[in-house]
Amino acid sequence: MQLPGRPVPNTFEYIEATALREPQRLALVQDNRSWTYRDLYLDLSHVTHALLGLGVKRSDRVAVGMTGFREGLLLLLALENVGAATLSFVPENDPEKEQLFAHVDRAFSDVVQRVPGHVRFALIGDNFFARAPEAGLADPPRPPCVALEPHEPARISRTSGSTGRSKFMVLNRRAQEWWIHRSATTRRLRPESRSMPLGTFVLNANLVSSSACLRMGAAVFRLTRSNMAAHDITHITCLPSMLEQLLDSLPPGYVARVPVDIATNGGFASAQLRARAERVLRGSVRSRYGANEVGGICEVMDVQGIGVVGAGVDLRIVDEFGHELPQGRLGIISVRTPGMVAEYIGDPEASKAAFKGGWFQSGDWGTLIGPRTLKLAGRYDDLVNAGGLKVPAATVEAKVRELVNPTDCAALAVNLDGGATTLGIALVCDTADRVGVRRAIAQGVDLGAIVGARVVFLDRLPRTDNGKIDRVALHELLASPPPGSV
Amino acid sequence: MDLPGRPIPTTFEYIEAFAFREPKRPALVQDQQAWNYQELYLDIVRVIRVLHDIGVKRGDRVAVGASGFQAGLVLLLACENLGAVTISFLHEQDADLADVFTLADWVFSDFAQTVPEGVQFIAIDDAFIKRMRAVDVADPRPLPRCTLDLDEPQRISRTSGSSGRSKFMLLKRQAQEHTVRTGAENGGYRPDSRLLVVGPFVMNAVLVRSSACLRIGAAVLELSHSGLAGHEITHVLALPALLEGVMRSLPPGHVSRSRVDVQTLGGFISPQMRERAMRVFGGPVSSRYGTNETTGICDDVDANGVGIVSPGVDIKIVDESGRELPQGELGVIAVRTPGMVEEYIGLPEASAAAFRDGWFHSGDWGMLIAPRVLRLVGRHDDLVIVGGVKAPAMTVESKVRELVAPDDCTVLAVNLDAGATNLGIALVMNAPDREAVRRAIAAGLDPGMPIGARVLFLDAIPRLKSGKVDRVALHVLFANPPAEAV
Repeated sequence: MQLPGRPVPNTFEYIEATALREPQRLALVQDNRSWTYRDLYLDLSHVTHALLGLGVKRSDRVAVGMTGFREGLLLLLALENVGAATLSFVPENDPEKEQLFAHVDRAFSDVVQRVPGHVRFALIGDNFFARAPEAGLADPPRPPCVALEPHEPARISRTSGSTGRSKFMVLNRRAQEWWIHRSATTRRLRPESRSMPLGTFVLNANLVSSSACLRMGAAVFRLTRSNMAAHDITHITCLPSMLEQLLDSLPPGYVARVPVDIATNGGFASAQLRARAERVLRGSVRSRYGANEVGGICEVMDVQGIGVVGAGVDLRIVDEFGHELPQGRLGIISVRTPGMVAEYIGDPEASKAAFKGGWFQSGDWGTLIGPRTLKLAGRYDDLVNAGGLKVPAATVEAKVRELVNPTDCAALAVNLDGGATTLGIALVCDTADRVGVRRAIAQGVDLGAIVGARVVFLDRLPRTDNGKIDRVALHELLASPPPGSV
Repeated sequence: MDLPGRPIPTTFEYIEAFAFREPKRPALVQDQQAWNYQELYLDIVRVIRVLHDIGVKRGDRVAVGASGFQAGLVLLLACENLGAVTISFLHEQDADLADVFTLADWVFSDFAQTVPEGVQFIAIDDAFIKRMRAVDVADPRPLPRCTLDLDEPQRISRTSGSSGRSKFMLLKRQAQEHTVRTGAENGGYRPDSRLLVVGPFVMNAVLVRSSACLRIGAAVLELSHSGLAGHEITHVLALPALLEGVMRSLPPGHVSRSRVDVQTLGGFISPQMRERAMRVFGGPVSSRYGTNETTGICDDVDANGVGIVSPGVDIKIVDESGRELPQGELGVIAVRTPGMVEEYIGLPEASAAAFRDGWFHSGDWGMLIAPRVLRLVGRHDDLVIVGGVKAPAMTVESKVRELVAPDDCTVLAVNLDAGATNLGIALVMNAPDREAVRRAIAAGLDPGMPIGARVLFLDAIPRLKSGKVDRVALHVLFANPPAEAV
């Protein structure tokens, strides 16, 4: 594909234009420190030069794991400007480290990492980011800017690992640009927005959301939760569990001064969580449905799990053999988007199973209940078989929350006791009357033929580093309940 | 280039998503008529079905010249969704009609057009509308859709023809998409924006900005001047000359109730007009600098011709032989953007002169006064000699406006009286003492040396349908001035 002209600009080029036009405009806040667009531009120029000095070049694959949000962002954006493909990791306790280092040429971190022989590791200290304070916009000289072609690798992301080991994927430039474009338009970001992504850059949505903000002159915030009340945040991007934690951390009776638009990714936001967030943060909660392999599918899912399929998403419902099913039939959700990847790196079998004929076969069940209108049923490996009727575990979970009001709760389709137990329920619930709770669930959860449910009481639910339920660990807990949990 | 997934969506797909999510959201206003997103969507669906049935298909070149804005927009968006390449023309008095029709496979218009053999003319008449209305929008057959890849042709645009015959250019999908996205970014449109477009679709910017708004859920307005004051608008897009017309049509003393952002393109806006527009509309007035061959170069150029180069624009200043000049030196502006074309259709010589090694050598002079900061001096072929010194015509024009405050004014480099007269000044003004005006100009422009200037007094400056000065007609007037103009 030969295209005239040059590729679309990278995030650095947008930041540069804003730095020249409005140098004092607020770009970034991290706790008690803030940076203008001028500061950010000079920092990025400095880091770009430093990376070039280290020999980083176009198409290098670079893993970045920084403790500080700003430092991580600077490295990721400067690497983008050099034309490298980036992969983010958690500097400490990232269970996938061994696997992710296999996919890169270089690794940068402020924590010493043990890397394989082919990977060049650089320990990044504070002095790496230090630049002469008197530098003007033309000093240091403008670094070279690499804007990648649509087919070149821009980012390596990974599945959440909620169903086992993470799978890694290469997002080409077009895909990553599509993610950024969607983030900017569907979240209604504006130049005056003050956006706060929660979580690490391991969630690609956080880099995407930050890039979308900085391309339009908006400000990105990284605050300790206790500090949030002091800032008029307008947008939050997070996982549902992070939103729950954020709400818990706010001072009692806190109500946001300005309405906050909340976008949750990576899981369904329950009706209770939405109501609570809307009461405290005064804005709407957009529970987004998507997948790391394809990007956003529905921008807003209502509490029934119904949403309009987004522009640019081709969606069909198929049976287990891949045959397309007519409107109204429950089946596996299969999608095709401009933001999708081609395969899982180094995993041909899983790739073959998930990517068929240019479509991504998701791990989710759903129904098209009208043209371009999807009803999400749940993960297809998480449908509870109730006397032949398949019921999503998420539905059960919502009912359990309603019945016994636990602090936290997860329901999982299991296959225990020779198939006699098909439903696992894990509760975080301060109750002396466990029998009463079990009875309430048994009476209230109308699953017909389901009699085989295992209820365990835990101190907390096992979660992965990014806050998602660790389904593998939970399966193990349900299969072998620890003493005192039954 | 084989990219996974599917191409980025068409404007129709964005409208479709809004039609399902917020059907009653206002989409379009044309004088007294209004369409919400659902209505607009259904109209496009009907036209897609009709066009598909008569055989319009991917890659076909379709010329559209409808007198109504909504009809033109619906046709253009339906063609886009079928993968056709569109060209817009003025349904009446388009000086380039013969060229337009030579390039087309199909011509759609509500006015009878004489088309060459082999070109199919489709009248947008009662029969067409009846056929369109008869379309069953609930037709269960899949709606024909075609999203072009980035390297496929999507639109044919043309130079303004202000300095002679228009040149035609093929915009690939990447170029048109980039123009739509930067249009949304530079225009500052938001979902609650109401954009007033002033001008025909022959100006690609009108289609581009309308598309940008409809992709984010904003509303587009096309109003006769008399109806302007009754509508709340937030943004205006116009050529400077057309903006003048808009302001003239408003009731005396009219001031917008809320802030309106005004963006002009296709010509330099005089400081007087900028000031007047700011007073009337109460918002910022930006004057975009760009070319049809490359799209925007600077989002805003101030009264001194200074602007910051937009992200995604590679720029260099070159001498007449194409050698790059250092910062601070005056030369020809050469640019490279993701929105550029690669040649003029059927004009190899003009193409070879303008497109060199992937760069477009514009007809404009300028200098980089700092990194990424351009000072636009004027059109390359429009330098006039005043007092023996070369000066851009627009600088002289600005000075003339300051000296004698005409209603309208244009300055042109001419070569008359065997080289003795090299400056043509056309004025529109009620001046009982023309000699005094001439004296004031001569004294103000060049106090020391005599200038060879011809000053004409006209009822109106000759303009093209697009509102730009008809420089050819003006040259003819200077060469053979009517008696009453002298």
